[in-house]
Amino acid sequence: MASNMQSIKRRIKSVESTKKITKAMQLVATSKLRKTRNQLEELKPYYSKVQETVAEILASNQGMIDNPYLKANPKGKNVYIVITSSLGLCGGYNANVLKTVDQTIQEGDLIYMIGSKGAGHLNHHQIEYNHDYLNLNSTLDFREVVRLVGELTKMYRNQEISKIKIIYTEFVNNLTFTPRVIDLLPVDVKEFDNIEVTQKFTIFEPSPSEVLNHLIPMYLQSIIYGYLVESVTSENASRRTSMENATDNAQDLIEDLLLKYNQARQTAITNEISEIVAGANAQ
Amino acid sequence: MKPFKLKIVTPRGIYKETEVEMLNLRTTSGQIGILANHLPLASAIDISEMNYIKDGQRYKFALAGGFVYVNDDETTIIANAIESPEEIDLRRAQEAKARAEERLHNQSNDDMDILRAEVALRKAITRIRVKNEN
Repeated sequence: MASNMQSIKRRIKSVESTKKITKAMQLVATSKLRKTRNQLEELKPYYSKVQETVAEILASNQGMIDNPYLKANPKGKNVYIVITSSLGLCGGYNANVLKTVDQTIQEGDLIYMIGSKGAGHLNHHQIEYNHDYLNLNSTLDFREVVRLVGELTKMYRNQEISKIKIIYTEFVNNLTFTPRVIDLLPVDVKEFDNIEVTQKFTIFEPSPSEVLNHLIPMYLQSIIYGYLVESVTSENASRRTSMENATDNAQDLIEDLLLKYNQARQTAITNEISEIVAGANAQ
Repeated sequence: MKPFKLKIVTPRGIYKETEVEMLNLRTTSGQIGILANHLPLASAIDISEMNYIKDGQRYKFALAGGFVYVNDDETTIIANAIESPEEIDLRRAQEAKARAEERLHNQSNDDMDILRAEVALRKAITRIRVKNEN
């Protein structure tokens, strides 16, 4: 009986230390979540302003612009930018993204992987990918995004690639995240239809198409960065939720074990008493 | 002079929202000055110095490229990075300039690298100039 009590006590101790770890991770994820959510908020005015301006240009030159970014290239590979995490213990976050990756990506597609968890998955399936931007999810460096967009738009203008898409995790709320596939290039003109524009006579210096040539890379930078920050927000929210669950589970387990421990202790005492009583009776 | 609204947005949020009398910047097709009641205008901005006049005083900034959109009621500058002379780290800019020059001297075959070094060099030179003129 005593050995049983000992082992239960040991288990309680180990669960308690696990709980301490998960609790700490939960707190870290909570503070990181707050940070990335702020970042997402800060990005909003920039993003919406760029989007508005693109909409404005497209609206005031309807169907008149012959711009390479608005047309799909018939030849070339599809490019996918995939955003995963570099750290584990974040619930189904990576599994969900990678399921979408497996469903959408075809052989011969070019993959730009962000996050080492996704890289590990592709290594396992022996799929080649570009790993120049693997750490973008931890650095969140806007200059790196500018570099990525520069590289991609150059390939696009040279007609080496036909489409650019991104797979990221949408942050719906603190508990819901959905992986999504979004087309980046060619720019879908219809997407801007529901943005309100003033439709005033506007001068475009030097020409609408030239202005778009500058603006569309900026637009891509802002949305890729936005999706990146949003994915990291989802990751942190997912980690917080799963760590919260783990902490709760650990607490339940501790309570369970404590009950068992007390029962075992009581049984041991009862046994001892009955032995003493039996001994006294026998005399 | 009649003032007009100027808004500068960067990926890090709204940098400045103010009223100015005159805005000077260099677009990809040349230097322009904007006063109140300008016609709606959209243009890309070069990596250059930008300045505006507010209450008779001139304020300078180093702009790492961007986009300007003039509307009746408001002028918006969308920039990837913008710094006032106080915010510029002169030593860092000089280091960046030296680095970019070295990369240009080392004549790599990749034109992407050369382009990137050129952009870095122009950004560094703009920063140094804005800082020193102040």
